Amino acid sequence: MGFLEYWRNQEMDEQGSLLPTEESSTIIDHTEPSRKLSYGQLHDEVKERGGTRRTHASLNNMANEQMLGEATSDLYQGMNLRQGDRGQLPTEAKEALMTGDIAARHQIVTDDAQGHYPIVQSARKGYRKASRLFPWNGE
Amino acid sequence: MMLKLKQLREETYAAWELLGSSKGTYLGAPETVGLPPHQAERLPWTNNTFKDDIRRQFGDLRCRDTWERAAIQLTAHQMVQSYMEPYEIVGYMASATYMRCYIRAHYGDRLIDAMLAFPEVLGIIKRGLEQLYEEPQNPENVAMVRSFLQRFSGIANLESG
Repeated sequence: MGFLEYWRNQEMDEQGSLLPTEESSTIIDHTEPSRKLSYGQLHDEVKERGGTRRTHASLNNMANEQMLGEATSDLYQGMNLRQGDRGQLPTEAKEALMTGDIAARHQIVTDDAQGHYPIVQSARKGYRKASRLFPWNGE
Repeated sequence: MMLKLKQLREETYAAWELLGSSKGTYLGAPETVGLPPHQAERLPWTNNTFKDDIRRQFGDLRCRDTWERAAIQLTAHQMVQSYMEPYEIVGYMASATYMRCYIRAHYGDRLIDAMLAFPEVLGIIKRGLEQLYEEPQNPENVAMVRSFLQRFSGIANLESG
């Protein structure tokens, strides 16, 4: 079971309440932990450690696969989202991606991974560990 | 300095594999992310599903031109279909050093033309620029937007769109 099946089994009310509300216009603290910050930190770390375009793209693909249990395009099609709409994924999906990105970054740093293959291998390990926290990734 | 044929082939494989993986299509081999490097590095030469597909789409595998076209087209396609943060895609288009990439560094204009040929790329650029404007306190972001708009003045009206 992946995220889509889990999501479809939720009560509609609950789905609605989990959708992100409009972004507030108040001043945003950019050091407050957030999905965007975690994503940015992971990808900055990857760049510093010699990652290339394919490393960045692989990690992004891996995050969707490992954390949400769905092929990336299935996930977006299943949620009726277009490319570039990642901000409109349900809150629970974004939390999982954020958790995964944090776990992947720590694993990369712990392993002191440098270069494409070591980075993707550490990241995969981190995502796998984190994926077990989420109910839709069960057997 | 020209890219080596080996590099073109490896970049082509990486883009081809990621495109297939994100769509869940048959790749003919395990994904490189789960393999030891010495096995993963052989796949661009040993995976027949890959070779057949490149031959079908781009022609004779013995020609350098085939691998140049394949690397540019598939890198462009994969980048547009990468589902990465839109601001990263803008950064990649705006600057050859934003992300390490041989194809972006060596075939900048051809690669960007190939990306712009995908209709969905304009929506991604628009969203990416919005993201970059949302965080105006970051000087790197501001510089990235400026360099992007300078380079692509033809589509600068996206800014107000």
